[in-house]
This record gives sequence, C-alpha cells and structure tokens, in this order.
Amino acid sequence: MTHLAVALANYTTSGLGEKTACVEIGGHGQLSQWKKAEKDGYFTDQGVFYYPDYSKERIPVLLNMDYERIILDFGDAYLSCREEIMRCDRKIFLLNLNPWQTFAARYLLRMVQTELWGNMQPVYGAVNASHKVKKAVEKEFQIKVEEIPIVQDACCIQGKYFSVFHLLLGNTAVTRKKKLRIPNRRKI
Amino acid sequence: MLFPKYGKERKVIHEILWFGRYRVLSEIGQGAGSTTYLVRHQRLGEYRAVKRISKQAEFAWQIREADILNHLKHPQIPTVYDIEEDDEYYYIVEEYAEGESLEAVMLQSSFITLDFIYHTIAEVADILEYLHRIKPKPLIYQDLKAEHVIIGKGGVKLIDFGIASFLDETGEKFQNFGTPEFCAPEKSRYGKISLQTDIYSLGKLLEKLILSSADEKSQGLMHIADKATRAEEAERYLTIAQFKSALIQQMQFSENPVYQKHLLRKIIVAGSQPRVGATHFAISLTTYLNQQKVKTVYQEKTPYKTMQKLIQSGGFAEEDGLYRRGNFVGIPKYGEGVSVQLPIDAIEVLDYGRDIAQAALVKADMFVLVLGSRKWEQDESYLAYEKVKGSENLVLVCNYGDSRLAKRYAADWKERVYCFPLDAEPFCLTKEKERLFGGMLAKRKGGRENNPFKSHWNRRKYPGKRRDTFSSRIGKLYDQRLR
Repeated sequence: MTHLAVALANYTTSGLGEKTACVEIGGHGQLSQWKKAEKDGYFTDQGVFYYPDYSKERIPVLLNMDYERIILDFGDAYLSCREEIMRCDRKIFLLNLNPWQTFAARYLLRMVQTELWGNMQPVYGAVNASHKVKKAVEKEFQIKVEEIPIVQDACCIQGKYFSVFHLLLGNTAVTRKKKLRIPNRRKI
Repeated sequence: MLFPKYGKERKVIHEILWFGRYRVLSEIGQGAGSTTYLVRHQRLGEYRAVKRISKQAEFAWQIREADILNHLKHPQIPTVYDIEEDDEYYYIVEEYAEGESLEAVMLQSSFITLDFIYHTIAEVADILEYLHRIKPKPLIYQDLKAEHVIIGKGGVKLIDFGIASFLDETGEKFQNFGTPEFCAPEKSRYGKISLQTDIYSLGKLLEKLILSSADEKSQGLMHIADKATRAEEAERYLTIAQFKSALIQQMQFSENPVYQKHLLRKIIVAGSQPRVGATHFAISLTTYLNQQKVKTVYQEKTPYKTMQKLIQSGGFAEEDGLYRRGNFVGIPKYGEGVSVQLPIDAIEVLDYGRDIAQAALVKADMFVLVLGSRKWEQDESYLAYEKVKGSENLVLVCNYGDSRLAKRYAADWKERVYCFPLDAEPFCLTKEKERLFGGMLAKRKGGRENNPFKSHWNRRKYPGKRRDTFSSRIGKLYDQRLR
C-alpha cells in the first residue's frame, strides 16, 4: 500500500506537476524508517512532501495548506480511519488476492460493502492477482477489480504505467478523438 | 505458367487439343527438357499454362515442381490445377500468370523508377519470406532472376519452381542448375545452399534494377544490394526479414528529404524574449516532421507548464507518457520521479522558451532562434543574437511573417533569416508553413542542395558523369559493375 502511495505521489508531482503531500496515517511507520522528518513533521524527496506517522486529527491542517493533491496512506487501518476514508474524494482499496490471503480481502470487502458510498464508489485494485481468483471475487461482490502492474521503482515511474495511474486517480481519461464522418451527400 | 517471351514471336500452334479439353494456343517458354504452352480450357474458356516435361531419365525429376506448387498457397505464386501424362511426356497444368516479365520491363529504363524498384523488390522479398517460413522445412527458390518475375495487373508473381528445393535436400543433382548471372557463389562451387542463396539472387536482382534505372542511382539501395551479394554467406543479410527492414528504412529515407538521421537528432528552439512564439514554432515543426513520417517528439524545457495546461485543455491522447494530438507528439516537463522513454530514432525538438543561456549549453544539431518582428521587439532580438552568434548550426526565424524587419536582420547580420507566417493553429499545417520547414531543413549542410559529391575533385576524376552523383560516390566499384 505504501509503495502504491509513494508511486502515486511521484506520478502526481513529477508527471502532472501538482504539489503533492503523501501522508502516512495508521501508525505503520514505514516512511519514518526511510527518512527522518524535519521540524515541521515532513521530509521531501523529488518534490513530494512526505508526512510520516501523521495523526488523523491533524488532516484539516494539511487541507488548509497549498497542496494540490494529498495522498493519505491508511495502511490496513480501515476500521479506525473509516470516517476519514469516507471524506476522501477518491478511495482506492488495494486487495491481496493470493489464495492464502483471499479471506482478508473478502473480510475487507464485506465491511466496505456495508457502507453507503453513493456516487463516489471506491476503486478496487489488485497486484499480481490470478485471473481466476479475481473473476471469482468480482462475481461474488459485484465489483470491478483493476489489475495494477508491478511498478519496480516507486520513485521513478515509467511512461507505460501512466494509464493505470490516470485510472486510479480518476482523471478524465484522455483518448484519441474520433474523426467525424461526413455523410455522403444524397442526390436529389 | 510461363509468360509470353519478349522480342520473340510466339510459335502459334493450331488445332491441337490435349486431353479433350485444353486447346493449345502457343508455345511460351522453353527450358532444359521442358516446354511451356499457353492453352485454353475448352469448356471454361480460361487460360492455363501447361508445362510439358520429357519422360527421359535426365529430365523426369522436373515433375517434382507440381508437388512443390501443390504445397504452396500464396496469391503471388501460380496454382497447380492438374497433372497429366502420356507415353512420352508429363503435363503440369498451372495458372497462367498474365503480364510482362521483369526482364522485358527492364528494357525500358524509363519504367524503372525508384518507387518501382522498392515495390517490386519488396513484393519479391515477401514471396521469398513466405517460402522461407514454410514449416517444417523452408523452401529455397534457387532460381530467382528477372525472367521469372512477372509484373501483372495484380502485382508481382513468381514463376518456375523447377529447381526449388526444401532446405535439407542439399547435394542433390537439381541444385546445381540455375542462371550463372544470379547464382550465389556457393552454388557454382557445389557448396551447401542456404537461405542466403536466395538473398544473394535477390540482391543481384536489385542491383540489375538499379543499374537499368533512368533515375539518379540510389546509394542506399546500392549498399543494400552490395551487402546481399557478398561472396561469404555470413556477411550477407541473415534473413529476408533483415533485407526487407533495410529496404523499408531506405524507402522511408528517400521518401523524406528531411529525414537525415546523421544531421538531425536534436533541434533546440529558443525565443529572443517571452511571448515571441518559440513554443508555437516548436509545436509546428514537430507536427510538420511527424507528418513527413519522421518520428519527432516535442519536449518542454521551460518551467511554465505550457504543455501541462494544453493537456488539461483536452484533445490529447496519452501513450506511455507521450501525448499525441494529430501529428503532434510531445512530452511535458516531467520531474525526477518520472522516466519516459522516447521512441527509437526519434528527433527531439527541445523548447527552451526564452532561456537562451541554458539552451546554448546544450549540444544540438540545429539551434533555432525565434526573433520578434515588431519594432519594440528588435532590441531584444539583437541582444539574443549576440548571445548565440557564431553557433555552428544556427537558424534564424523571424516570427509573424513581417518581412521588413527580417530583411533588416538579414542585412545587419549577413545571415539567412526565415519568416514564420502568422498562424492561428500550431497543430495544423498550412502550405506556407510546409514551404518554410521544407526549405529550412533541405538547405542544411549535407542536404540535397549542398551535395558534397558535386565537388570539383569528383568532376575532374569523372568528367563524363558530372551530373551523376552516384558514380562519383561509388567510383571505381560502379565502373567495374558497368563493365
């Protein structure tokens, strides 16, 4: 999950040119092992502002700053951070669909499906999932699970992954414009 | 199957009916132990070619052609319909390939244009590629020559599979036949034949076509023919696919006079001041080059996020980090966290905006300085020119089509100054822009107008071939070939 959050943050900063904060909530403390935060509670890397071990109560402070995008990494703390998750513009749930982990994914999905999401439906993604298991989960929960490719280097996003990030971030998909066909003139 | 022989009158045969259904019309070809006739099916009214092969022991092996053709299903290879026999002969009834042989076409050199050479050789290469890809054993045609290539309405057809053989049948008697002019050296020395044997013949065919062409000889094509006809098999193209890709590359090169890889790899565009139209020019140039089938990618090097704003306005398609709109391909200014791979052999158009100092540090094949054409912009233009004066590949462009100031710049600096027309849409090309870019790129050093082979040295050495740049370059080799 942290890997995806870092990759997304790098993509939005370097690819889309947006000022981005990547915030670690849920106390799993992976970012603090990477670099130590400065006085203001953050460190920067390649233009991304990382906030390790951030408390969910201080999220409004971040919202009040000039960030164009804030990526919140809740880890596996769905239950404790349920309200904050529901306030987000885009909710991405990363599922582990390995056969020995499917039970955890099903458990999370059952919890998520009890909520009323309205028009802001969450996005489900899975890395390296077998087609068979993915189909079974999709059928069982009536959802679409997006295949997320393995991004080797989260700090250097290659162009081939852009379309997946577009999809996850809910940006308007850029597509080639169809040429308008002019109908043949009918002879009268 | 065979074709009417040029320069010889057909032997017309009347009132002969074979097997109660084929009326013999004329004799159209003759080989060792075999004769080919044009016949007409009495009931269907269709023309057929019938190859009559003698049953004598030394010629009877030729009947295997029918078996080979029976295995082949290709629109450019004749279909075999039937096999008949009587006491003296075998008869192979085949599809009649209507048209002229390449040998006959080559007599009229005005027909042999570069375009004709490319398409004919590419089609023959396609047929050979099909033969070489037959499973489990590739088929070696072995007898490729101009006489066996028929140019008809439906394109090229390859005829006469008399000595074609599957690859592992080496060492058999029939493999030593062939036309010496087109035969690979390994055949004449009874060596082992391989895929390269056909590649050699194809190279010879290409060489013949180039030499019989009335057009200016293409050095690139001659190089391909030269590589395909090397005496050592290992030095030739390894597969027909390699030969084809070299041919296609050369075709693209010759179709686009601006496609000069050795000259243009990196083009820098910078403006004398802000809002002078450097980005507009860079986008137009990228669109033009891509329209000319020269892969070109625009790269934003300014910090103003112009490209990002453009993308957000819509109308772009994203593909592996590259953004397309019509013929335009570009990448915005990405940060360190993103790596986007440019297409191989793509020309880069780097837009530095007004940052001339930064642009001057980068080594490029062309430096385009866009100058303002209004009176209040001329001071900045003079200052900008001072900074880049003396650059080796400097091209000066005056924006907005006002020629008066451009003429003044040209007179003051004693340099050519191009006028970029007033233009509303950088992603669309107008005739004026096409003319400007075409002229600007063609008149570069090494381009068509500055041919180094028109030098006095070459003129003295080859006085009779002043206009023939090809002979000047190839020199002695060319003369040897003509002999």
